[in-house]
Amino acid sequence: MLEIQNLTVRFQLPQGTITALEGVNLTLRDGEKLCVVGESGSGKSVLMLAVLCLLPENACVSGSILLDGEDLLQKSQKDLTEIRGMKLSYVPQGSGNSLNPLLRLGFQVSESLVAHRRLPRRGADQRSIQLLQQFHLGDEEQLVRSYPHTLSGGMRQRALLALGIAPEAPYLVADEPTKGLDSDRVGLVVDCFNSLEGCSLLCVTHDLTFAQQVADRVAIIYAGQMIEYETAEQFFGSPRHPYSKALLDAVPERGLNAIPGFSPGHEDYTDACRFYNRCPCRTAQCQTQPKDRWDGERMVKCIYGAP
Amino acid sequence: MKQRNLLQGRAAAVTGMVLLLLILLVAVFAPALAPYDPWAMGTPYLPPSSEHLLGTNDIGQDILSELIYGTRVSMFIGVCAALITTIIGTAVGVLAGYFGGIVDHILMAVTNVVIVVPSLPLTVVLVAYLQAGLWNIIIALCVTAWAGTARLIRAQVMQLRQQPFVQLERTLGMGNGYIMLVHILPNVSGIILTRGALSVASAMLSEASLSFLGLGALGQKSWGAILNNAFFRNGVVNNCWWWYYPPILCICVCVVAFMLIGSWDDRRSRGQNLLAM
Repeated sequence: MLEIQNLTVRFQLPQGTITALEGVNLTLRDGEKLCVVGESGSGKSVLMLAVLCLLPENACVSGSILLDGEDLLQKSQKDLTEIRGMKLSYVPQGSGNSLNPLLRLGFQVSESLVAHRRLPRRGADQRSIQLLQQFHLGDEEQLVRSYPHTLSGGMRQRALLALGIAPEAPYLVADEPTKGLDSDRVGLVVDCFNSLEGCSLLCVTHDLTFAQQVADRVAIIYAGQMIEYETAEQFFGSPRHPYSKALLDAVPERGLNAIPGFSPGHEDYTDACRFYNRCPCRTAQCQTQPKDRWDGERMVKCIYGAP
Repeated sequence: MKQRNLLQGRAAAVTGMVLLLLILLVAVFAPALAPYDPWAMGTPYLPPSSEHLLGTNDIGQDILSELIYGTRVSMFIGVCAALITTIIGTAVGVLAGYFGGIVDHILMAVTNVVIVVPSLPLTVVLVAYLQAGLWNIIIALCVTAWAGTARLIRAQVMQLRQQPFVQLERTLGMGNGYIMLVHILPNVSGIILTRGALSVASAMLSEASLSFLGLGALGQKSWGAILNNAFFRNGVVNNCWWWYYPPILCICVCVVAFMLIGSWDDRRSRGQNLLAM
């Protein structure tokens, strides 16, 4: 079980301090699939990096991140190295250079198996082929011997998924795994994630359709705060936070009604609810920030979200 | 256009390698190629003739034979010094660039001090204090030469460290040593090879300077040492051009060979190295 308790991340910059995440509480149960949804700059990637303990040095992290009861934030680098390879695996974004341009694909896909499980090189290549076949890349035997630059963006994304699931770690963290994939290929990713028996998934995305197909639970992050935490069923059926409603209304299948405006920048944070300026149902009460309203396993940070 | 540049770059490098191969063959087969024992004395100051192709020196030693044997000494010193220089420079550069922070500060402080020290005078002083053996010369040549390589490699590694694939390795739980060896090092191999080749050239030049000043390895006939003899034992005064031009020419050819090799740019790293794009 992965428990994030009161996680706050601040960055010390020459211009001042930026609060990227504020008081996030969430739980990822064993075998559960959690999608973290939010706009660009909302702090979802920071959340993910915090779980991996890979935030840059100027980050100031408070709270705790308990992985099976052990606080990752208190771990030494050596312990973390062990945990990252064996217990916690990561699927990076395919855009950019997530693969070393000078090493063959097969080597990189099964690299963690060779390093942590002491798999012989030859067996590892076989495993790479099997992993890649799951994602229908085509001609996998040839592919494991080729270099990353010969792959298209979508192929690279799928290769990175194969790389992420290779260690068969009980916890998988994925950063926008469907970026740059067409809907058929997204289907492959959905199948893959749904077939990961007993694996807990923390997936950052802004693809709501994908989230609906994969997630057991959804966490919505807005301007550095978690504003709704809900079972997927509940969230896609009747979301409670006005932002969540607006988010779902913006999906093409539901009418493509985009929310006007942008989320506030870090310098514009006030005492009011962060969504105040864009909220269709704001009242004078919203001038002070609402509390996290917990109702069992659900949470909403809005006065309307009363259980 | 790019394709053509690439081919031209290759042609230069291939020329350099052919030259180097010839030089190496001369060094290896020196006893077979040299017409005389370079230490054997005969008639002094003989101009070039069919008997002594490059004439003789003040004590009648055959200059062609001296040059052929000198290839061994000059090449050995040049290559060894370059090897040590490149290894130290790479290690310092990779460590400083990868770890950053305090490691970087300390290593770069040392590097900067080494860079500002005037290298030839320091080498002269070092050689004067150490005993003038072959290895002491090599050590003296290496003391300052690694700094430039270290700086270059550090800059490249600092960029590489920020690349997503290095970050990914860390999320896969790979150790720092593993990441540096398997992922960083291949990405700076172009710089290492280029700098290595250029280091040989500059080490050979420094060695020639030292030998010319009379600080070379005692009893070893390097090309610089032949020049030193020609200069201080009346070769120049007597206008014995066959005595001092050939070693200069040899040094030039060698340096050019290594510089041409240094111009080589790996096609693979050009096409795929993200930092070059």
